Amino acid sequence: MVAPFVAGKDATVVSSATGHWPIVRHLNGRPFVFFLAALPLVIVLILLGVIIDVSVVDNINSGLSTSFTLRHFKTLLGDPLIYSSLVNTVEFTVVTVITAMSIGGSVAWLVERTDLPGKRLVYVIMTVGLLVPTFFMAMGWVFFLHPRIGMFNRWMMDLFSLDSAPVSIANVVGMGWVEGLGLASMAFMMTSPIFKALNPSLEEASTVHGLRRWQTLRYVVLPLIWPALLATAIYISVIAFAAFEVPAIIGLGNRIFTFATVVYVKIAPDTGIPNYGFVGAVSVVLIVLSAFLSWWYFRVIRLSHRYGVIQGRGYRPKLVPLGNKMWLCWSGLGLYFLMSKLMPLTMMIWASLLPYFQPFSVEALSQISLANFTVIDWGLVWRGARNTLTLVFWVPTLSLMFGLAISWIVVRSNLRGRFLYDWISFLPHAVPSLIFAVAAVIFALFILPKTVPFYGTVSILLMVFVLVRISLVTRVLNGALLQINRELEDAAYVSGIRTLATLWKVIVPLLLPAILNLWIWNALLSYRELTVAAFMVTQDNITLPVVVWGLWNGGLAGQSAAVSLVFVVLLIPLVAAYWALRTGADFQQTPRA
Amino acid sequence: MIRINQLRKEFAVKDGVFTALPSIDLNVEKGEFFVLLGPSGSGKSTLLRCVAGIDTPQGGEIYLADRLIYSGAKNVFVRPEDRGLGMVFQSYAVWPHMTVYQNVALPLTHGAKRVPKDKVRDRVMYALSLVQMDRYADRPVPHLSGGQQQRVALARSLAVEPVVLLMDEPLSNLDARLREEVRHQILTVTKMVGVTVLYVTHDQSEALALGDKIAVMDAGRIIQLGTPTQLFSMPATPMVAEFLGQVNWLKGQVASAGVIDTPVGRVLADTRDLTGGVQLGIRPSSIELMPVATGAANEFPGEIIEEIFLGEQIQLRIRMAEDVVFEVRAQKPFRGRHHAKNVFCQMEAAEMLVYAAH
Ligand SMILES: Nc1ncnc2c1ncn2[C@@H]1O[C@H](COP(=O)(O)OP(=O)(O)OP(=O)(O)O)[C@@H](O)[C@H]1O
Ligand SMILES: [Mg+2]
Repeated sequence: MVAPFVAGKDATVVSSATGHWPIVRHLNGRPFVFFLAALPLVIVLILLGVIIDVSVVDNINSGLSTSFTLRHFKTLLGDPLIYSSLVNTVEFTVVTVITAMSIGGSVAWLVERTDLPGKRLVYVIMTVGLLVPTFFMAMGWVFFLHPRIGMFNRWMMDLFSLDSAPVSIANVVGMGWVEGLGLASMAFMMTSPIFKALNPSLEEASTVHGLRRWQTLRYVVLPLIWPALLATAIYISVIAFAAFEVPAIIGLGNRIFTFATVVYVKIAPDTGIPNYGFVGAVSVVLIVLSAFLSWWYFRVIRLSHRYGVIQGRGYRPKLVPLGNKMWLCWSGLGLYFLMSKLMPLTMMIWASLLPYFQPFSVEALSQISLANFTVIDWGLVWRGARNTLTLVFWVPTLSLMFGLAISWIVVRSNLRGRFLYDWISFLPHAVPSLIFAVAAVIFALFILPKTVPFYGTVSILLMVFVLVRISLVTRVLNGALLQINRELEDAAYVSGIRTLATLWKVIVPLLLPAILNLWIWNALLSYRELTVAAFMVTQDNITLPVVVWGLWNGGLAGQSAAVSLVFVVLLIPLVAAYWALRTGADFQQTPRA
Repeated sequence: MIRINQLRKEFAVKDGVFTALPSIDLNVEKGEFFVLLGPSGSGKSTLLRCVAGIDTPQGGEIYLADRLIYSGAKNVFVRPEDRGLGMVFQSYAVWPHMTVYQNVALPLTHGAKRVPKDKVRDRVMYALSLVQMDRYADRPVPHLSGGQQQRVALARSLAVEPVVLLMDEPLSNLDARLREEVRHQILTVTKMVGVTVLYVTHDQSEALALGDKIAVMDAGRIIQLGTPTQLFSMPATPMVAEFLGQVNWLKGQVASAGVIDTPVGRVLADTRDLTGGVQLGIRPSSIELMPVATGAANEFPGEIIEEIFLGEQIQLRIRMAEDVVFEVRAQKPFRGRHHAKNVFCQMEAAEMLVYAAH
């Protein structure tokens, strides 16, 4: 036996943990964590300040006058485009929410509350749905339903000798429909815990006491779950309200504007110089409206917690037998899959092979070639791919690092201002991400000294990408940290392990499943991110989605389709990795697309 | 070893502040096994966590081995990492992503008091051998039983050679049989190493079995402090008396020094300087049952109204007077020998607990 040790004796101590590294001992780890957490939040506040500032100073680009003015808001009020785009935005949002909620909600009900066979496959379809880029789907729908070139419309016109297209995607309802198809996955992921958590004994109590099924639904189920459903709808409307991709792909070419695309054409006009003051004013309006939606969301969420229905308890709900209707349900699911994934993919492949878009025909078949792939500026694609992959690695890494620091402070520290950290870290969700992109551009161009080369770099993209991810990351990590018994951490401190070492040696390993999941998820979202990038890129820091977008916007639909196919092929390994990792894991916390 | 002066701890709650510890004074000697005993919510854990540095008090002072580790007035706060403590938690708090060995080793390799690399293994294995867990060194911790996990936690806290070992209800997550086993282990190991222990529990049998000294807490205050025998035989208040074990209460009037009139009859007990109304407490263990009257002092007739079979013992409820029912424990044979309903209770005068009536 080894020599026994004596309580309290210090003879064998060779070094105080960080004795040879005095700086760290002085900081004791904790201030460093506070700094890590504060950094992105301070930038968030700065960028919001920039936007508000720009909207009330005279002319930031000329740098001549910077006096206070409400001129931009006056211009805004006098601009007919703003009114039409406000109406469009609201209509677009409503259609999106209805589409997404009715598809996502029904699928969630089918999965959680019926004996539908093949539920795993449904999960696959729905989660992959979140990863298929919205711009990809929108392009597919344009090829399918465009009033002039749309394949379906051409068929119908030929078949019934019509003069004009029977259905068109190029309107607000069409845009909302496509956006809704895309967000149906998210609606599904957010509503299925609601159905899952609803205590079946509440329904049984109703049935036993003589209420029929629809009465039970009407008087028991719906009143219990509506706050949660409404909260989901509001959450989705926050996203739809500031959505850029669908309105840009479908709307811009047809001069149908929403707020997001108005900001875009003002900041990247075809002719003339950007009107930053005006952009600032529109942005402020957007911020106010989005903040209102978020505020409403929180109110409703609190209501749903009051009923205590959404607790995620492991009830075993009684499943409704579908019987023969099972086939009907699966047909519906198949149709959804067809419309949201298969059809766009087919359209894109077809479009990429043709010099100009035309419906299937023998004649068209004879024109098929890989010409689009050969004329592409591969140098640009390669640069875009490299930048995108840089982002795909660094965005999740950095946002997890910052996010962990923030979550640790919010959940574990007894810092007095920790609620501020929590509150500010939610701002990137409440404020549309394109606002941060616009603000970062203005910041880099006009506020940073000209000698700092920030504008047009991958770093500025990285910064904004990370900021817009912070909300999701902190929300998921807050939840995960709360699950970890606090005593595990206290045990480390009491036995002499410092904050940083505790984070690294105890907390990170325990959070590893959540961290990996978040990392891949954020990598995927960064890969497909078009909105933020479209507002910020130059030739140097271009990303792959922006290459696609640029070609599309320039009228080169075939090449655009070709590059987007390359884009999708590169996505496959990432999705595969995601699936390999998240098998079995319950992804209750729904990320924001 | 631990000196606490006027320690004050408040929690910010919704409607203002909640004072968990108004002002605690405490002294723990070197090598002592000191138990904080009290009902749930009495502030034991809070006090322990203040000593550990996991909670920050709002005032007062804490010295650890004559080193000031907290002082409200002087604005001193030594971080938990630098206090040189060991701690065993109610939830074990063994790190589930590590093996037994790694759990014990981590504080030695990454903690404030590091050990030369080549000594780590010896130190870990020695600590594990103290709790007979050296055979399991390479097991992942989640594969261990609760008792084994708690022993790993004990080894981990001892391996850092702590100035003081803190334990917060380390046995309460274990089932009854394991509890005794681990309790025994805690006692032998801490005595063998000679470490000073501050131990929190709400279980009086644990406190009595383990403590060199016990402080009974209630509502954030220390009500009584003493050795287990002192506490058991001379509880300062009826609350302490009840907390340390079952008591039968009798209301009475002091007739003269040493004589109390009660509904049961005239009882002889040490009345100290009390006069007037008193409350008389008799522990079941101070009552002896007689099948027939022997004429001894403090012997009163009663009627058995209920028998509860407890295995080794039976618990009897005995009506002593109109409104007075005593609970008495008897060994099993008593029942076999004697079927009569009427018995005589002999109460040990020296063991009576007498308090002023309130
Ligand atoms: N973080 C906190 N915020 C508010 N009040 C608290 C907090 N922690 C403890 N308290 C309160 O302080 C009092 C003492 O709590 P403490 O945990 O010390 O009790 P305890 O004696 O350890 O009880 P138990 O035996 O149940 O563990 C309780 O009334 C408790 O509600
Ligand atoms: Mg406690």
